Amino acid sequence: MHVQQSQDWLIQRAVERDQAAFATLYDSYMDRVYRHVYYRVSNQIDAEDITQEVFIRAWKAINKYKRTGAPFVTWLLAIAHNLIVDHYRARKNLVSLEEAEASNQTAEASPEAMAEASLTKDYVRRAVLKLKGEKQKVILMRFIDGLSYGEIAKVLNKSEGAVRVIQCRALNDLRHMLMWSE
Amino acid sequence: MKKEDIIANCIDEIQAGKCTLEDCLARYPSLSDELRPLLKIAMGIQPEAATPSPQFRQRARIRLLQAMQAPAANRGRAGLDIFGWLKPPAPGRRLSYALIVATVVWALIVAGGTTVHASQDSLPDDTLYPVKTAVENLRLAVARTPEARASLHLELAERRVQEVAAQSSLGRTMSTSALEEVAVQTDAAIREIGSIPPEDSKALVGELSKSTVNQQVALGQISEAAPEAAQQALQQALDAARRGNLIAKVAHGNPACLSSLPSVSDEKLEAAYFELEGTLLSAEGGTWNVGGLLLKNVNSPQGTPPIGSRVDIEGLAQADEIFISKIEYEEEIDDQVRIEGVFGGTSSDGTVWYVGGLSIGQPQNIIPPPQGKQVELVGIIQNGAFIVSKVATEEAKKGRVEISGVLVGVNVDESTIAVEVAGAQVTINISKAVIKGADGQPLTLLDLEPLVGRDTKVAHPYVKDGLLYAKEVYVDVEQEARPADEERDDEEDKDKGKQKEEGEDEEQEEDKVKDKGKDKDRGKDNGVDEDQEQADDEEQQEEKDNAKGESDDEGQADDEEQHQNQDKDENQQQEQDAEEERNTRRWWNWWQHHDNDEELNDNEEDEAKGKDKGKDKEKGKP
Repeated sequence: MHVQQSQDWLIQRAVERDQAAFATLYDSYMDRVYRHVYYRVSNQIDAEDITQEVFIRAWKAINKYKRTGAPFVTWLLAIAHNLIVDHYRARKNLVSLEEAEASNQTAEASPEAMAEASLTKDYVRRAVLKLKGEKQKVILMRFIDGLSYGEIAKVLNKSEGAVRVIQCRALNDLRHMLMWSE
Repeated sequence: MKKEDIIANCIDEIQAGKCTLEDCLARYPSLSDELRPLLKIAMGIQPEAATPSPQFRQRARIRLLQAMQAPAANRGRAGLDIFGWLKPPAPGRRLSYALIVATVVWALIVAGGTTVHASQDSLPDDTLYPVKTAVENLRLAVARTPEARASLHLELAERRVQEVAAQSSLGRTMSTSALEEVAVQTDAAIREIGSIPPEDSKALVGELSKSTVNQQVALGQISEAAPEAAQQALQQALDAARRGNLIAKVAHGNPACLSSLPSVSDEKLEAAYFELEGTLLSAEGGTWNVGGLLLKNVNSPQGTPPIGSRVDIEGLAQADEIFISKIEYEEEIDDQVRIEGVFGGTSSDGTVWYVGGLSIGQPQNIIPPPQGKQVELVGIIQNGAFIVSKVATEEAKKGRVEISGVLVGVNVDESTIAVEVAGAQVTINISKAVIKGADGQPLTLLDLEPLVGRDTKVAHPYVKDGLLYAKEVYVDVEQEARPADEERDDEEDKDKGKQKEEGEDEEQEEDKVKDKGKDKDRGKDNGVDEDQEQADDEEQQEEKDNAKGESDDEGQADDEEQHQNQDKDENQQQEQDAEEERNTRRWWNWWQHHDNDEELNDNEEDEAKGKDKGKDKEKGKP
């Protein structure tokens, strides 16, 4: 017996355009969305702008939200993903992330030094962002968004086993990208 | 085990701190070389430690609020398309917008000197009305502080009500968009107040309270004479005004509740307001245990009362927080829990009931009351279940105009009382009002002087010649609390008092250790009988008072035609009330005849003692 205004209840009320319920969801998920966005844009101002826009767009579209069994946050992260893609598209005239990446990788260094450098979190982050398709999604959802394999499976409409396989392949790709060797 | 499963398990265990990378590798020596780099990379994928700055949080929240408000504001201005683009802007564009609007209004003034001035008396659907709202928007645009904007939004809300009142008195069709605008403006004011630091918002909460009282009174009066076609929009505006006053009431005690974005358009808001009385058993980490009822995420600006004290709290269960707006406590040990609020239904499996926004374990000895009813449950919580010993229901306040507050002054010479409602003081002429105590006993104006400080309800308020009058006043005082020289002879009450004392004496004579549980049950049974008799007395007294009130009204009706209409409406209301009462009795009868043999036996005994009272005993309280 307790006061339990469950997330489901809040989401249902938000879908019915209850502002207070949506504001509570905003409070609950803002940090997670921001963390995800920041990881991908690595810039405080951009991360703030995008995070703010995620929730405004979510409010406008909340009545279209459909329960799929996946956590509500994944719906917000999907909106965030689209905005981040738009963000990079709009900045394509500037030095792109991948170009910056390429310049980093062409830097001359010994394999040992490169291996050591690749251990740094930022270098791993850049490699993660170069992963393609579902491999990047699985790595981000698992390690950055903290979702379980079961939750990721629901988002991607795959089995948990398939998610683990994708994770394993993604880590192998990262290993190649980081030129890891021992 | 497959490699991908081994990797997944190792990552999970390392992340959970159950083992180290080396431990994992030692478990799978044949795969060690392959696993090591993969696991090292996995451990290197970590979210940034960055968190949003407090400034960003506040900025983003305000921006979100504006985005959420935008559609409602547009809807409220439907039909004003000529000046539709003159809407209040986002804060960042406020100045440039102000310049544009100022230019337009200046042009209007130059083009037709009296146009703007003349528009100020226009009503919705008048040609000049868009000019009036454009000027209002200009005022909003140039208001630089949230305090100024909040006051202005409240002023505009009241102005919309006045416009509808003017339309009503002129026999014109009432503007539904103006009525909708009342709620929109009130909500906008609440948002602005919510953006002010709590310590600075007290005065504005008082303004909100006063404004929503005024709205209720005016809308209630308009509603009495309004045609059927306008009733729905009026009732919605009235409900919104009442919710606005409830928000003011909670915010007066706990301004933090405004951060949860309560809205006057939220039809479930009143169902989230509760009164709870019980012993505070524990309070840790924001979770309070009151008599076995757990309140999570408690927000109590008054702090936490001493553990073990008996607390009487009021609050709002909004979103996932409990905002305590009022709290009183005393050193007294009592297992009983009393909860009062709107019954919001049950969980799908029926094991949880929602009362006043709180979740309680399904009471085992009663069936659910009709949803939307105001209910009061008294009982004890055992093993998570609510064992109800007393129940009372009341029709929810929808559509009713009632001012609730604390009596702060009595002016016998002018026949007025002052009631403080959430920080706002309201003066009411009660020369024509029926005044009653909580026990239904009639009171006079003189009786009220020593009762300053008591909770007071003013029902059916109306404005006449610029003064606020009331038809009924209820003061939370019982017979024994009144001055001795003004007590009325009431043999039944005395008998009741005796009966209560005898019951208590019996309890004291029992073995307090061995028969503690039995004592409690007997105490409850006595309480039930007492409540039944009290309900009987109240009903009889109410009948007398009603008869008296009606004859008084008849005397005044010669010079007050509008009151005749009110009486007719009251008759209709009484019929509706009677129907509600019959429904409640059906429910109550069901309860009495199911799962509660002891109660049933008690009732049978009572009926044997006095069959005349049998009918009355079916009323709300057992």
